[in-house]
Amino acid sequence: MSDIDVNTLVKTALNAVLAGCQIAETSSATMSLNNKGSFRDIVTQTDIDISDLLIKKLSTTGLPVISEEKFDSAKSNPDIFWAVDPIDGTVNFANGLSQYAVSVGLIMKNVFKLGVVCAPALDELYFTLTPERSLLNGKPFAHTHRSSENALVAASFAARASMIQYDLFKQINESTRGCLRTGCAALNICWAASGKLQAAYGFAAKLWDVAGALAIARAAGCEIVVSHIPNTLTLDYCAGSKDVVRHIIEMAQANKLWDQK
Amino acid sequence: MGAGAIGRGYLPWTLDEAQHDFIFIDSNQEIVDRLNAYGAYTTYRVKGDVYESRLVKVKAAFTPTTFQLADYQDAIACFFSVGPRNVYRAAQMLAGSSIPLILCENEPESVAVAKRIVGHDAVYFAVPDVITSNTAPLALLAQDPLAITTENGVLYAEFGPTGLHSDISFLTRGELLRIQWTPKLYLHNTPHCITAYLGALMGVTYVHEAMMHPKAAQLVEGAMTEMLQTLKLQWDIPHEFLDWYALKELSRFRCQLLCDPVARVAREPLRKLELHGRLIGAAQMCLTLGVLPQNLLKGIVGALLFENVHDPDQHIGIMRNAMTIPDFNRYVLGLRTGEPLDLMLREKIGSITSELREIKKDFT
Repeated sequence: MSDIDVNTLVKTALNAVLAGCQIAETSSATMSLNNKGSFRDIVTQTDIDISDLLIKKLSTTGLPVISEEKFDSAKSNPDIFWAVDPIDGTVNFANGLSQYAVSVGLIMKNVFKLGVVCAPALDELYFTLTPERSLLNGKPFAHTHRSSENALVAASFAARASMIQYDLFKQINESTRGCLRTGCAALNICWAASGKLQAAYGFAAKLWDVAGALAIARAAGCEIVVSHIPNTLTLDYCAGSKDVVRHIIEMAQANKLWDQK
Repeated sequence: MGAGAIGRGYLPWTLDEAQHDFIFIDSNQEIVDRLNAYGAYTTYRVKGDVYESRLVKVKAAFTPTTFQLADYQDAIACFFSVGPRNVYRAAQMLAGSSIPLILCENEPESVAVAKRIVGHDAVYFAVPDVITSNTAPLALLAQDPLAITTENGVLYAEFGPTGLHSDISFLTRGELLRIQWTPKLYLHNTPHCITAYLGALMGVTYVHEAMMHPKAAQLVEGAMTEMLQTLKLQWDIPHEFLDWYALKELSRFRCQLLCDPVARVAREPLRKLELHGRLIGAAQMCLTLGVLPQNLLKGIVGALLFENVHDPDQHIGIMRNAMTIPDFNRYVLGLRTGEPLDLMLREKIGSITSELREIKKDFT
């Protein structure tokens, strides 16, 4: 990123996400326009409006933008690009719950470099100042690594999750202080990064759901394990304390949900 | 723990060197190397128009990575002056020991943080009523690169530590917070940092240089008056004591012998802008009691404008430029949208910024 001004990228992403939050908070368009093949995978007019705004603002950086709502697979594989989720947790948003976030991540050669995730209903703004420094509401933070018996974990599920994923959820719930399903992968990861949780994991997540949050977790010093699903923009991920991530991955491997490597 | 202003410059004046050895831990490798190489340094105390000096012998100095707790389990006490943000990490170095801690951190909550980490209750809050520089005039530094200047102050601490031979004035925690910490926070820390932010805008090096500018001095005195009015309404502290305290502080800010660097006092503006702290908290307290914080508001804007590429909070400028004022107030300052201070800042930030820039222009 040597020839790209990081400060300018951070400023642009912050400005875009906060403008997106403004739309989310003032919009009354919370009705689902359609579902994308599952009752949980819905889109509202607000998603589309925020997506348009984020694309417009981020395009000023000259970098390609991939958005959940405006995705062109033909342009999907540049070296460096923005991945945008106008509302991560649309079901929560549509139901008037606070756990939703506007999320933007910068990906460079498959590495999550920069991220901005804002949960306006919770007054929480996470972002990376640099690829090595994460902030919550302007204050730097670093992940404190804890053991799995003291861990509170959160899981995210893809629109169509298998029974074996629910079995794993149960096993993790019973071998830690608990496993949550908040409905917002980006917030799960940010909470894991900042120490409210000790790990967050998910299977077949879309890149735009987690790109910003994984950059924040990476900069905060979390252990991050990612498995990209070939020829797709989906991935399995686990981020958080080292011991907890190891514990989750081992259980996932035992359930044949993660490659043995 | 911490060989900066208070740790190196002031604490040795409060402790009986004949009875105690001094061991320093500091993250600044250069300071630690010098302390070990010279085995002593000089701290200068302002007395009237002159300095008195004390040569402080150093038994040992360490960085956090070279310090071995096992070698010092029998320490009488460990004084912390590392900055509130660093208490957590510093306390981790003493986890599991029973060494009493005396925290000169200007943040009462830091005591609870340290207790959780070290795992015992012998952790005491202390309020150094003093201004200590973290450096010294060039003439003194030429004689000793570790030279440091301080005022003649008083160290107040809560009852508890035993075995110390010192000039420390011990109080109950309640008295300490009410009579020493509250006036210090609002009559010292608040106008002191405002002076520094004005000094930074003017481009001066030391706090006393900022106070030489009539408009800056007027603004600082105005902020002091707002705090005095508010404290008299809010707290059951004798008014004569508060008036005396305020005058004492203003005279300290003007002290030319102290050479108190603007960069030291202005550092970490986001910490100084914390919701319940010396700027935002002070202004909110004024508003609650019907005192209009006009000068405090200028101090807040001064903090927002602080720019120093070496400061840990230098990203304040990036956030200010990237965010709208309402978003900055909400996400960074923690203000509720539409509360009085939020509205005042939205309305006044432009005109105050221009006014403060004029002070700079006047000065240059």
